[in-house]
Amino acid sequence: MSALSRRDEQLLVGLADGTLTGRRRRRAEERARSIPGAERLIARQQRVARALRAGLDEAPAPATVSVRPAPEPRARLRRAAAGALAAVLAACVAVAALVAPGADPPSPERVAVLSMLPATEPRPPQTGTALEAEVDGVRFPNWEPDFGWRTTGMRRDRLGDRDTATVYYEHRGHRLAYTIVAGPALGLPDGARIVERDGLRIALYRDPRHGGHDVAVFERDGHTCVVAGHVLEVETIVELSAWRGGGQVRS
Amino acid sequence: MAGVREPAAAVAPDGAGAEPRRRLEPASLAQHRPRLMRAAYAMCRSREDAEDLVQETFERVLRRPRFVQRDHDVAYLLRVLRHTHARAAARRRPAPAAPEDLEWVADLHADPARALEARLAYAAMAELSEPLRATIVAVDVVGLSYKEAARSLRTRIGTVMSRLYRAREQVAAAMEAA
Repeated sequence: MSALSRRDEQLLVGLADGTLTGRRRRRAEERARSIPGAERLIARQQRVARALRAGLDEAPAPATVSVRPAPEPRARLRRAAAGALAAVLAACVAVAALVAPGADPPSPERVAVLSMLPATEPRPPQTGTALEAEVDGVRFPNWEPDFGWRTTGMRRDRLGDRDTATVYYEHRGHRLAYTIVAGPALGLPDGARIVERDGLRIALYRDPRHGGHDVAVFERDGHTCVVAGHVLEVETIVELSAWRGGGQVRS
Repeated sequence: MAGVREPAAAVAPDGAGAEPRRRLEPASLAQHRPRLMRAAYAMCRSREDAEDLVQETFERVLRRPRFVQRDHDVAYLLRVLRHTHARAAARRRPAPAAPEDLEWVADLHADPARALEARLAYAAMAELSEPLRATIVAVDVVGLSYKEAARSLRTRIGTVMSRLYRAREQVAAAMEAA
């Protein structure tokens, strides 16, 4: 429950959405400076608005708001100049982080988040024990004939400096995502439990978010593969990850 | 459901002193379908249920001539959608959202982080109380202005803004806890 007055709630919403202009906005910003954590509250409002407005073309972008405590009058001009410079630098850094081709490789934990997202492409065709989908020549397995896990779709993303492809599988209401990361292997996640199966080292851990996902990270032909999702027993993920598919999947 | 009445204000032609009204053209409904589908998905969390809800809403609207003020079509249709959903909600609970269903309310091709944010936000929104959910759907999902939302929800602009603040706060808290 919010501890703010209704007036302050309205004010923070107006600032977050950028619906206040001119004198009303200045007064609102002045008032917001007396609200503890106002900037954080506004950022939370904007985060939700951005998430829900995704795909709504005509939605205006949430405004940038500054409600830090007002500087003393004497220091105001000097700080304003410094603030403007800082804002420009921050904007440059933010844009650079978004577009920089030389961004860092993603962690396996970050790759595992893809398991929680929907497919954006149709299921790839099957050829025997493998699918007609691959990353740098590493093909996805077709688990349907041996295990009953049927593919439902796939998606392609770019995380950091790496392209990824993810295929989604379903079996009796459970859903697994199999992601292959392009480029050299990322290494195994710290603190994970390591098991060996048929000569394959598999790092296992549990992501507690969203009801708990089991995650397996391993390498195939020098590429990082991440299998993640809801299963009844983690052994299922181990068995599926280590499956060779008659040599068609894992050499 | 008892106590849930069809929106009545827009059914009658002009009254004395009221803003001029025009007939809601049945042919114009299709252009509002995408935004209504977003709202319906936010309420139902299932693509199939959302399609049924929008279809049922259009059927109700088309039963007789409707009159709306100026360009308030979406606000009015959203009100009918909400009433239709209220009737249906008494019959069933929302199903868990299938990840694939989000595809047509958010651009999932652009950025995985953004897609995950949308998924978390829609899931959290389903847990809100009806007044808060109706408000955040009207403003953030459908894209109505505060004024349009107030008209659609038959409440005051200040109430819309307060409810919107509280709705977003609760959704943000749930997203952080996920």
